[in-house]
Amino acid sequence: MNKSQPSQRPIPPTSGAGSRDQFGRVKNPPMLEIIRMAYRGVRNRLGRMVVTWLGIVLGITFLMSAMVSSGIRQAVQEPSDRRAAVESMYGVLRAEVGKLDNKKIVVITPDEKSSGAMLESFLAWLKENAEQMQIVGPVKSSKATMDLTLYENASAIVAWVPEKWSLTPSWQDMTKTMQQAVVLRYTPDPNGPFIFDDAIRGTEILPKVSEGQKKKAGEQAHKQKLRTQWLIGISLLVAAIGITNALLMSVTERYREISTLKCLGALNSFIIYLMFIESAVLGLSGALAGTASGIMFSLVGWISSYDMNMVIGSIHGPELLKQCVICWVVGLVVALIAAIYPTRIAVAMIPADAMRTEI
Amino acid sequence: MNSSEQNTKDTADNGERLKAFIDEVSSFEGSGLAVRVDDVQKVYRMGKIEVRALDGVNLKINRGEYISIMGPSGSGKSTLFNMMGGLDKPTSGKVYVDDVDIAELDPSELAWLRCRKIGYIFQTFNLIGTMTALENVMLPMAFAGKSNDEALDAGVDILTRVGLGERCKHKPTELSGGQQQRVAIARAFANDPAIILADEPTGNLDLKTGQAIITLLKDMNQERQTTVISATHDHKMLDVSDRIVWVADGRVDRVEKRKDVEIEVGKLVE
Ligand SMILES: Nc1ncnc2c1ncn2[C@@H]1O[C@H](COP(=O)(O)OP(=O)(O)OP(=O)(O)O)[C@@H](O)[C@H]1O
Ligand SMILES: [Mg+2]
Repeated sequence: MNKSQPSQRPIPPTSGAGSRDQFGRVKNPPMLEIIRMAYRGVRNRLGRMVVTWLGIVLGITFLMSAMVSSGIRQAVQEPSDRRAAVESMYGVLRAEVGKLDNKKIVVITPDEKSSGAMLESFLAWLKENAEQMQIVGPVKSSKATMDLTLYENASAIVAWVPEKWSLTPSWQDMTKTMQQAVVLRYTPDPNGPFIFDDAIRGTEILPKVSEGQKKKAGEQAHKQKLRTQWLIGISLLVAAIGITNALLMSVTERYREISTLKCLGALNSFIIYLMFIESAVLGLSGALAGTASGIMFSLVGWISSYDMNMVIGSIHGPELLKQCVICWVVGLVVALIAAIYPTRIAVAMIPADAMRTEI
Repeated sequence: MNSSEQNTKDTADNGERLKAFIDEVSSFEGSGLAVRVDDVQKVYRMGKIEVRALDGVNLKINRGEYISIMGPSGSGKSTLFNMMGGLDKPTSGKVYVDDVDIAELDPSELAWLRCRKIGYIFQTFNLIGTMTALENVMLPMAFAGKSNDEALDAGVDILTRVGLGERCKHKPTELSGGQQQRVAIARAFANDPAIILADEPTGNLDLKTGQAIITLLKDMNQERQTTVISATHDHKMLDVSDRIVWVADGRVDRVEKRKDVEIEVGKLVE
């Protein structure tokens, strides 16, 4: 203690008044109190922080509406796409076979139930549009190859098989006993709407959708996805920069306030808590508003072009909750990352800055 | 060299030694010093420019004293303040508060010093704008670990003491300058500190309000035996001070007892 003591007078061994033991240590106030202070800080500065806050809201709105929309698309757009596909399939079948009334049609499906919804709507459509049509099947493709009597007097085979037909008997054997030899083969595309692949008249294969077209559709879907992700990424970045800026402003604005807090006995950890909680309040409240507006925007968008009841009916509670939670977490994390730099500046301030009359 | 000269020098040396001895003995039971500043220098570097704000300051302040620090603008009063209050670190030299070298304290002990041992009053009041008067006063109590209920009662009491019992719920912007400084004083006294450091507490106030603030500080000093150290340009402060420390160019120019100053001021008045 007296190493660098310039006075010649030795300092007596310290105890009592001269002892460092008389000094206690400061502890932070209870977390609830800090949260209350941070909340109050945000609320009082909300006027100036509103632009930043809107930035977060916007970012989360993008994210949320992208997620909700993809859910609605699955539930609303796919059935409508499927319906269109079914109609066009039916059109082809009519063109090949002629009137379908009183005709016998054999439907072959793969062993797995991979194309259920599409097949169901196709069969429903057939029944709706043709009188006294005889539909044989759906017959599983393994069984379809064993019993050639199935095809006697049939007008068409609708084969629901993903691969090129490589089984015995061949198309030729199967169509021998048919009244009219029309085979429609369907390849369900795992990445998109079902594509009516090709039709066989006799032995002739008539491709309906080229490989190139298929590839292009896939690429387009991929591009669309990238575009959405980019938009979400950019908007979150903007939100993060906005929060950083707002907190920085609030640090410089509160230069004196923060150093005064240090004069009153605030530990650096208190300042850190304060800054991070403030940021979290901004981030979370922005995310809350953002999820709400995101849901609203996507609903409005879909309802404007699809049936309202269908759109609303397509919303799945637990899934929506999951998406909300994701948005809240993202909002919170972005806000906390944004708080790092301003907090470092606040921590670096010395209490003496409270005395400065400028700024 | 004649022996009589030698003798006088010896006697003087003896006198010095005796004084040092008395200092030493008294420091066994605590020196009675609230603050001791030992050859403190403070140099601010801004790029290539060096500002020597304090240039070897020595100062001893007794417990319970009311000290005014006077000096021209830029003489280093505020800087001295920051050193005594543990708000900034000296470039060299030592500061002892209650005989403890504050350079040896760790951050949380230093925070304790700022929280419990010293109360600060600023020229610009420095109330937290988002908090009410009462919340401002309760803040240092929260850092000191007081429960909310305790702090609430104590806060109302002390605000009542400074004459603002009715203004607890008011925000700083809803209070006049003098009222804000009263809240700041209440906040500085919140944890019943041993020392109050005030940097030009009346600097932003008009004459009359300033006078009231000075009276309040003096009363609190008397009531609670709190050491008050106040930097000031305000000559009204001199009336209530036990001693006046004159600072010039980063050094202590002279230290005067009030009696001596009264004579001077008397002369000035005449
Ligand atoms: N943070 C700082 N950085 C650089 N220089 C500083 C800083 N603080 C004070 N100084 C310089 O130190 C010197 C003493 O300043 P100080 O504020 O202590 O004076 P003062 O006596 O309080 O003046 P006033 O009566 O105007 O308040 C001045 O020359 C000032 O410019
Ligand atoms: Mg000053």
